[in-house]
Amino acid sequence: MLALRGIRKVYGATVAVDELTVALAPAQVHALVGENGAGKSTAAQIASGVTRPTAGHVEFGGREVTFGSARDAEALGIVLIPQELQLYESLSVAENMYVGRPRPRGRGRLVAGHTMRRRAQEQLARLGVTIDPASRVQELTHGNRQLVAIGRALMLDARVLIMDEPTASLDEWEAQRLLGVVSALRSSGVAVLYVSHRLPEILRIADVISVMRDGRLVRSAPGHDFDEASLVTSMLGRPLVRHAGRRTSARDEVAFESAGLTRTGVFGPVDLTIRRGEIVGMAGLIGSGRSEFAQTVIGRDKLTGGQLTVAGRPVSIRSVRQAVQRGVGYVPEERQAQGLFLALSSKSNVSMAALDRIQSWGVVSPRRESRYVRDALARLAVKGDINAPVSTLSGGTQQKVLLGRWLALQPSVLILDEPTRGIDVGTRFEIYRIIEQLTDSGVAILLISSDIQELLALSDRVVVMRAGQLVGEFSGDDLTEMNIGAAALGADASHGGTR
Amino acid sequence: MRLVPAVRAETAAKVGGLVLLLVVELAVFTVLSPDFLTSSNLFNVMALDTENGIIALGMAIVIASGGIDLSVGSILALSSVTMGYAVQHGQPVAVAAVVCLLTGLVCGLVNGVLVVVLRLHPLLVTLGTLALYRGLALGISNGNGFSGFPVSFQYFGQTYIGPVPAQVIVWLLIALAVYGVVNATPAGRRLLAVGINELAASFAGIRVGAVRLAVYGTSGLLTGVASLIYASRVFSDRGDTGTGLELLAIAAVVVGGASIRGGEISVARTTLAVIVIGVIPDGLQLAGIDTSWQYVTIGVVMVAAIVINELFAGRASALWRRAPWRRTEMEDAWTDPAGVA
Repeated sequence: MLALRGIRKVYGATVAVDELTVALAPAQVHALVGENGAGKSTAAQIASGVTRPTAGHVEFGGREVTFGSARDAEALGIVLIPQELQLYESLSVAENMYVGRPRPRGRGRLVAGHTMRRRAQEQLARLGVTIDPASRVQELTHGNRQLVAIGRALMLDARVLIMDEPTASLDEWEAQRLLGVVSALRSSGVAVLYVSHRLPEILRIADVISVMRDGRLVRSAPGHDFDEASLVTSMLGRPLVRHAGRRTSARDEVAFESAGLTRTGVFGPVDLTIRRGEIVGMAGLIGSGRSEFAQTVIGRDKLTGGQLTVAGRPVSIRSVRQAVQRGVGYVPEERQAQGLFLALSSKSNVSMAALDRIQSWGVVSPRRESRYVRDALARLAVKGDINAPVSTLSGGTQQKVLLGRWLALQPSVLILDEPTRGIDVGTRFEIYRIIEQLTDSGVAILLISSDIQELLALSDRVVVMRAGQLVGEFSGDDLTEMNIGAAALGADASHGGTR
Repeated sequence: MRLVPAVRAETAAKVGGLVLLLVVELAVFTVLSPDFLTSSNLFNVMALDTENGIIALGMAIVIASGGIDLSVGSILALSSVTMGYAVQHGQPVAVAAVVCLLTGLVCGLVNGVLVVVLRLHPLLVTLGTLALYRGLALGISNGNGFSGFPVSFQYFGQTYIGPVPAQVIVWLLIALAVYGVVNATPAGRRLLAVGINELAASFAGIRVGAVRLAVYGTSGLLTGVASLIYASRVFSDRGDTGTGLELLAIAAVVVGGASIRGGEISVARTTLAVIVIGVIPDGLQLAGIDTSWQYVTIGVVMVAAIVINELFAGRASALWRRAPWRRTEMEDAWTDPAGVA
């Protein structure tokens, strides 16, 4: 029905997709799986006309087609439902479902609202759900918004539905309901391209599974030819790499202990200890509760149970300020949104968490501030004018400035949340070196990362969080991509330390 | 804080624009009336601007934090009325003055608590308290003015030190103090941090709620000070004074070149802008022009100041690109309904 033939897509120097050939058939769910950056989303965007391939072509009904935009694809009944739903939150469900097609007119050419609502309701009923078409999208749960987006696609008489990570932000119940809807669509003859990294649901729903790695199709076969282990192996590809064994700096004393830390409905109970000089990696999918755990540790969110121990003393941390006083630091995941003050200088950004330490008689001492900041940034090899606004710096340098803020505080426990996301390779290895130096001086590190290679390169141990629970802990010979990936995805590990 | 050259140039340009405007105003009014450019008249203008000048300093702090305070005019009325109430009930002037300042402070803190604890938008909170405080002022004064202050009450608003009205000196001292706090203390850094990026501020260990509370408390307290000077100058209090004052204060901050979205503050430019605006009614009056033209002139000068600021700051092209008669975001959305292309 819809086919991609020999597709290649190049962004600058990066080849996102190469020689990809995938064919969808009516009444079939075709799953596209792969690691982050494997090229799944790019493939979905090309199939739906959002982006154009650099080479290769798209066929629809046996004929080659060229899409100028998503509108062209929608006119043929090919509809993309992106991961970030593009709905108008302040408009009604019915209005949203009519976006992109003419609204029914009543007397005097006025839009006939009641007709819109009735037709919207009919489409939603086809999906087996009751959502009031007059309610506004912002009032709906994420699962219901997903259904509205599907409803809009049905309004457009979709014959091919392309879903990019549809269950990523859904809870278990909503995900199950969505899978039911997808089955129903299949029965009615729709071809579904289903992009996801949730392996259990893919094995349940997919008629055909195509595995992508580094932009290429590595295996395409009927769904029942796969099991979780073989799927993970195809996705990761390389013969399973063992951790080379970083020279550990871990000492015996426990620096940090979380005993049954819980935030009801979000994560927990979490039991975790980190020794001085140890790097504990924390793996898990987006939304598994890793950042939430970290933000509760530093007192930004309220814990509902459990006890923290820092340097052997039980502590309660109810604010970031207290965390700093107790020697616990957190470098947040979103560098620009959560970390930096872009309009301010590197100097102000570094000193912002230490104003109490560089003041005398209630006045910031310029001399002490400069010395404090220079000391911090010298260790990070940050070059350039420390009075220049950080908005003028490169992403890598911005990250180093943010790290500098926390290193300068000399924490005994440092939580790094995705410290190298979006950072070029050179700076990435510099940051690795900085992290290892920190552990030499006895700092305990919790490294939250979605990059398994990074976890393997740095960690003494890796714990895996899934749905708010620590579901695995791996070290030594068990510290492999396979084990971490399987635990994070919820597949059974073939061996290893799953608790 | 040392600034990079580009920022320094922008700041200099904004100050330059305001000075230019002031020079033009002075020249025009001097031509129109020989009585304008005399030291006694200029000091008189400064004395009349003092209340707005002090309130504008508080407003500059509130706006720098990313907030707004619409209730200052009503706080001015309420704190002067409570002071009159205290005097009427036999309290000495010193006690009444403290009552006035405390009223301002409490009103500001109430705004702060509503913004911080209930997480309401400051525009809505202070719009509500604008009505609330005004109502209380009218209620306590029964709608009548009070002018029975003892002679010693003149001390706050009618004293001269040499030729200089005492309140002008108070104003400049407060401006210096605010300048010092904003530029040299941890509190000033935290203020800007909250205004620039509230989320990042909280991740850096700044107690955002405490900063906001302090900000609205300061605005209320400074308005209390202005209220004291005002009541002493006109030697009476009325429940309906200070109407529309919030607009003058906000105008001074914006004409001074601060972003209404927060994260910036300039004490010098805000103070200069108060004078640029405040000279107008006096100049028109001396020139014998009907005072009903005051607001027209003030409006023209304000718009001119904002345009000059934008031009000097190199933002004119950005303004042009954002102009409402050009393609708007909503139109883009509807010509690309799926929002995906």
